[in-house]
Amino acid sequence: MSTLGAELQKTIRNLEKLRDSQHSLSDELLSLLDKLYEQQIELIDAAIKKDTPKYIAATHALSEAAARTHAAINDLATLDKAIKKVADAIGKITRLLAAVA
Amino acid sequence: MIRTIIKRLGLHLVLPLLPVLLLSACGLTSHQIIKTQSFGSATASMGKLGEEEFINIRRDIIAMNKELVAIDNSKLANSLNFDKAVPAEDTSKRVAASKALKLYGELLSQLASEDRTEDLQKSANALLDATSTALKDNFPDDKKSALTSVVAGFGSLWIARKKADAAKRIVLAYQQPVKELVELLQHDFSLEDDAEGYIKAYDVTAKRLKNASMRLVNAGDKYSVLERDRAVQALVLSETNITRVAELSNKAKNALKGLQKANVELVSVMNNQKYTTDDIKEYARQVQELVNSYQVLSK
Repeated sequence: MSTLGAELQKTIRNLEKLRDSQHSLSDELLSLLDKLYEQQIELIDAAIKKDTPKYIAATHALSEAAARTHAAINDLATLDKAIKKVADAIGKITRLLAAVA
Repeated sequence: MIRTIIKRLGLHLVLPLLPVLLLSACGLTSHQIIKTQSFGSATASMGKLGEEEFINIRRDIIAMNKELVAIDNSKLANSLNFDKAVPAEDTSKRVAASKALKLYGELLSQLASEDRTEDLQKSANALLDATSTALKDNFPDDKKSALTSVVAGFGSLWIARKKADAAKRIVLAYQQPVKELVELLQHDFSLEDDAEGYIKAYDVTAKRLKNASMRLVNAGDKYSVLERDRAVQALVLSETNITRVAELSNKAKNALKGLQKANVELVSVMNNQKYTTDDIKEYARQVQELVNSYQVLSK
């Protein structure tokens, strides 16, 4: 199973591609990216146990977000759905981080 | 993890000095001397690099986080820990471990050279101090005072033959701690997707600043020229650091791989004296490449 860190990095990379491919930047996309960068730093800083239900749920959500954002690179019509998946993953990471705070 | 490694590194670095002073053996072959000096030099260079770069990385991350707060008005003063993921305490632990590695390399070089006893004593004392700093409360007073008295005995007991024996014993004793420290440095300089070390935090911070500055730079006439100018400076800073991150990670990766290999080779040559002239030439070439990469890396 892929790690949370790896899925998070994939999602960020896809969102960066989407950001850089657009002529006018989407505030929503920029904000999501900012939040993911912030969470990435917090995850580096925190001591996260990898066998908890919250970790598994966050990793699974990020895996879906990574897949949807990758699809959106090729089909911008699916971007809204991808953004919802990213927002869902952010929520699950927030809960994971709250549990170790 | 780092505390364990520092603890092991520190004790392993210093304790082998004890028997070394009491035993004598045959001298090193010229090949062993070359290997020891070269490895000592490479180890010292890598330690020096780590000592400098951990501080540089932390400083750059703090500077970029300040810029982020300056250009992004959604950020509040208390919403951002400027040194999150690279706090002073963690940084000083890494610096202390790197310093111990550097001093170990220097001591090894001196053991294989014709340096004066006073220089050796100075190096050994420096190593003792670095270990004390790295271990702090985990370095018991009784062990510290025992080591201090042993180091003080260098002057009267030290002769060339014993130096050779010391080099052999130290190299063999330090093989594992050096291997572990190299692995720790590899983790800290890795940009793999699931990496969680210092260079990763550096990379993420730079990309976050780039993302925030792009919002302003691409916003047309929504912001004043002064605001735009600040954002452009932040964008340039982030791009510069993103490039530096990639270069630093790549070069450290190669240098550490080389150091790991040199560590294994040095142990091998200490145990086996049957090396040909070609082996020596090849090793010298490898060491030269390593030294070159360290020099580029530390600029």
